[in-house]
Amino acid sequence: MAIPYGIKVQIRDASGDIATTEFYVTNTHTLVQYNLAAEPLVETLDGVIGGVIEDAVLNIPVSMAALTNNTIGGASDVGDLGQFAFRTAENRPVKVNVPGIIETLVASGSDDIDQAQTDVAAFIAAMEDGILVTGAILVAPSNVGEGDITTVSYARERFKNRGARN
Amino acid sequence: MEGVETIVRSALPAAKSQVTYADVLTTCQITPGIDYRDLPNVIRALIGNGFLHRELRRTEHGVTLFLVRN
Repeated sequence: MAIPYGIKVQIRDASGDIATTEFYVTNTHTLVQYNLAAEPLVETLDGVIGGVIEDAVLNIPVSMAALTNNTIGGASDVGDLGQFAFRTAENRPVKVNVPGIIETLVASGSDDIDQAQTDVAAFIAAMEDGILVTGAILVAPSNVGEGDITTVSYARERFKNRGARN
Repeated sequence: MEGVETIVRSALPAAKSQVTYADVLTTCQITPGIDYRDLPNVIRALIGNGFLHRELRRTEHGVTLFLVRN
């Protein structure tokens, strides 16, 4: 089944509360066509709401059919973050926080994520080198300004502050 | 670092163009006197001098990282 693309809109009201809505469009068009269609779609939504639109994003879902490790680990915790710090070709820092990092990937007695481990190395390679897709086209991760991510500075475990305790 | 580089270079002789990262890692881990944690820096250095590049490929086990000789 084709996966529809989503247009996600974040709305803030007079009391500062934020709510999000998302509607979908068929996925048979080009990215340029989606951009052209998304603006008027969000405009029509703007006409019927009293709040302010804070954010509008075109979401392109990723098929998860081919994932091979997508099971819940007994000790998994999204409060355990793997913080990967990269740099772009222009030497700008880019941080990627990965919730639920596997504890055994962290070197014992330190907060360093072991970059030599195969799965960690594969993730870092994907971020640094990008993914070669059909047609010999390289899709490379970048920062918000489209600066190509080229190197990793560090990878460490971090913990998210939470009120609740298990 | 030199020991790790020797392992990577010997895993990729002229007759062989690619090897899985996991295989090289395993060899590093079972070789006495080798610090396998040097592997990422050695790989980056070998990419920098044009000896190899990394490639992610989908295999039956998921996405696997290969080291490929240029």
